[in-house]
Amino acid sequence: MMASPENVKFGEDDLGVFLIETITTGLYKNKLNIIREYVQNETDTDIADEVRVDIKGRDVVISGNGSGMNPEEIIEATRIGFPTKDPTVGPEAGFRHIGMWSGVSCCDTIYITSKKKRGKSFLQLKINAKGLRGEVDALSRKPLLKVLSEHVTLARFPVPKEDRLKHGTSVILSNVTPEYIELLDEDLVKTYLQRTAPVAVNPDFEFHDAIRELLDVNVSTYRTFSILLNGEPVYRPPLIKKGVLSSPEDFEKDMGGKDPCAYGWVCHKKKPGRISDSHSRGLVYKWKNWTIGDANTTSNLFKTEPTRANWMVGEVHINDIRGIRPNSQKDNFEPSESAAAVEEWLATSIWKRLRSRVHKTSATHKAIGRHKDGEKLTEDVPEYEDADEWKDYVYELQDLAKNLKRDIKNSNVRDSVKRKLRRMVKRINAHLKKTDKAFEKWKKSEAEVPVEEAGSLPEAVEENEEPEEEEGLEEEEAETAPEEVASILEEISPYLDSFLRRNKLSDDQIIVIRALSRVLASSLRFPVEKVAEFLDFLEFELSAESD
Amino acid sequence: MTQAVFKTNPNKDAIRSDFDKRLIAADAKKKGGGLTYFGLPGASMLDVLEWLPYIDRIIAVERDPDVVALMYARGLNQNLLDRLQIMEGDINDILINGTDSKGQTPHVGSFDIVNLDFYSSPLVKDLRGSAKPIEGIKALFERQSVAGHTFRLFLTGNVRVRDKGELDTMLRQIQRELKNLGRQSDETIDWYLKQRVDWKMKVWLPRTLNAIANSNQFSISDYKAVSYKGTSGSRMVHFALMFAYERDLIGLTPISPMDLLETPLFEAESGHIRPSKKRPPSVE
Repeated sequence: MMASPENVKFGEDDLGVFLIETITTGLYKNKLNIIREYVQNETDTDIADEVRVDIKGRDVVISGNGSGMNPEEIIEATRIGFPTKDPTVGPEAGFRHIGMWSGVSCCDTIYITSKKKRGKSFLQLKINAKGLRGEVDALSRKPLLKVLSEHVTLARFPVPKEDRLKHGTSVILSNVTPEYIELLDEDLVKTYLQRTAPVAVNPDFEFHDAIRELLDVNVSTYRTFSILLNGEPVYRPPLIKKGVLSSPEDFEKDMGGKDPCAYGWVCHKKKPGRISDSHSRGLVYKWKNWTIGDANTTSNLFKTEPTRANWMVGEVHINDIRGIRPNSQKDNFEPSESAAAVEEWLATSIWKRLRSRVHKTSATHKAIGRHKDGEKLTEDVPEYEDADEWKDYVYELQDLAKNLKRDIKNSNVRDSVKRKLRRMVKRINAHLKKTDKAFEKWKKSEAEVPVEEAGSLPEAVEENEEPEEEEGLEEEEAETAPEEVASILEEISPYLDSFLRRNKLSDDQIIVIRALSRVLASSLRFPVEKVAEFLDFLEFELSAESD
Repeated sequence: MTQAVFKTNPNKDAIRSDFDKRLIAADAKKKGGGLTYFGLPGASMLDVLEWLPYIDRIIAVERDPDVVALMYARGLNQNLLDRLQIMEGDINDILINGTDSKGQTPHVGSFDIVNLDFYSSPLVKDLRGSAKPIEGIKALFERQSVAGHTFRLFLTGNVRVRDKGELDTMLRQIQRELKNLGRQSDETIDWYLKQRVDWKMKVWLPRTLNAIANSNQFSISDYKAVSYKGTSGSRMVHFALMFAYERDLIGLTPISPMDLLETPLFEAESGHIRPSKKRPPSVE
């Protein structure tokens, strides 16, 4: 007969000091999350309207005018892993009750000084972080509770009368260690807070009000806090100048609840290419307006063209905070049915929609570029001295008209632009006729050049002529004789040389681009103008990179 | 158990909110703007709070990290954090090295008010064989001199320190100087020699600091001293000294010995400040 199992009894001797290391040093990949924990403790109080982060030499001071703590609350705060409040009901973004210890890994001493309104004492919790780490380093066999008691003290100081009605908490991470030097770097901390903290959208951003209104209406947990870094207010992206982005579009995931499960907004870049400010671009998750993960967290979901997410800026706010919760690293959500549904929604229907907009931007921008080329080419009828120059000019106009007609057929080009393109095709054709007359006149006046040698100019493209299909072109080019490869290569060399002149590239990059251009050209699947287009695209990408 | 760090007493309150505040208000009016404070305000930062209407920036120095933490909490409660820099460490080290124990430098290069409250007086030099306080004050003058910045120095010291006769030697020196000028001060000096240390310090300290000031293009333009009993019952002297920067100052511009002897010593008692009823015999 089997004995019935007995519960194993655990005592305080069963918890060792390494547990403290697990919830401090081992807790975060990003060291700056330590600052987040203390800022979040303050914003979680619900009444804090301002939180300050000040870097003072080797100290980081985080202070806020939250509710403060009385002796019972400060003791409660020191308890590890005992959630005190339900984050799905209250304002709290933290619920694991370990964040207060996060600073143990990074500094010599943590001071937490707090005062409640009408409280008679300032309470000062002092954590000897260096001492705690020393116990870990020494492989101490002391029980965790004993070690904590030895290294944590609470002092009370009577409150001067003028402070009686004041409240708040300040945390000092005193003597931050060299291993955590990031915490003392104002630029890094600023960027981190901009990208992570629940601050207002940059007020200089032209759609700042529109986004705030969208989120106020559609995200029940949306709230912003005034967070100051070294006295300067911190705002969240986009940190982009006026005119670069289009007005925000929104999208929502409805799962049958009162509010949408998730709600997002996005602003696309008006011109093709990625947004130059790496801190602004991409889509980020927001949970109670705290950022979860970063732009890579969402772009990793996108199977097709994930880098296109850099052409836009946006946020996906989680409304279903009960069903979707951040993981302890705050770099993604805990696996759940709702989280999976949101991921699926974002990765498929939303990404398809957003990507389509990117393609439209790209195609429209190219079409606008061609329209501009048309304006330039049709300004005047040129006066060439050579028949080949006349012919080249006409070929250029004809190619342009062909491409414009393709743009008109392209569903990704905006309709408003297509009207202009149609007018431009007409203008080019009219210009071709003028050019033809001018050429005839030149031929007559050119006594030295026999008329039969000059030949005649190519005919104008019909306005209603259907553009050649890409497949057709490919087939035609595939049949091109191999000896033409050499001439194609010769043709692309001016484009290539001009490109290399304009862009300062390393020798390795030049070799790669030359080789690539040759491969493209000689494969005969890319006509010369396509290679030129490829180089234009490359140049654009390079300029976006260096922007 | 609560710890009493926000200590004050009526005499100290009166010096801060009546005597010093008037001087600071006048300084601010003269400058036409807010003043910069550098000093030792203690955990309570009562002086800073009292003088806040006239102060733009506060650089507070504190040696004890526990008190520094408390000062941040107090600064938060009193909405001071925008203009408050707390430097941690020994004030002399900070003045001499320009940085605190955390690597911070003062946010401003020079100051309008320097408050060395509860500061060991420069007498310590002789008593403990340490020159740090004097070096700290010299560094302060050098810093102010670089900026050409006139400033007010508040300095509070305990008079129970024994002076090994330095104060009496100085009085005899003054007696000789006056004699060389044809003035008879024997009765005055004898009177001083019989007084408490606060009376002697009232003469000695401005004269000593003026000598340091002179070598940095400063001269003392105003000096007042208040004697009072501190929180622990010990006798303290509080000095309010104004050092004016003079770019073209060459050599020494000593304070008139007669002025030094005849300037009254103020006394604070039961929260009231008045000139001492005792008066030294006049120099003839």
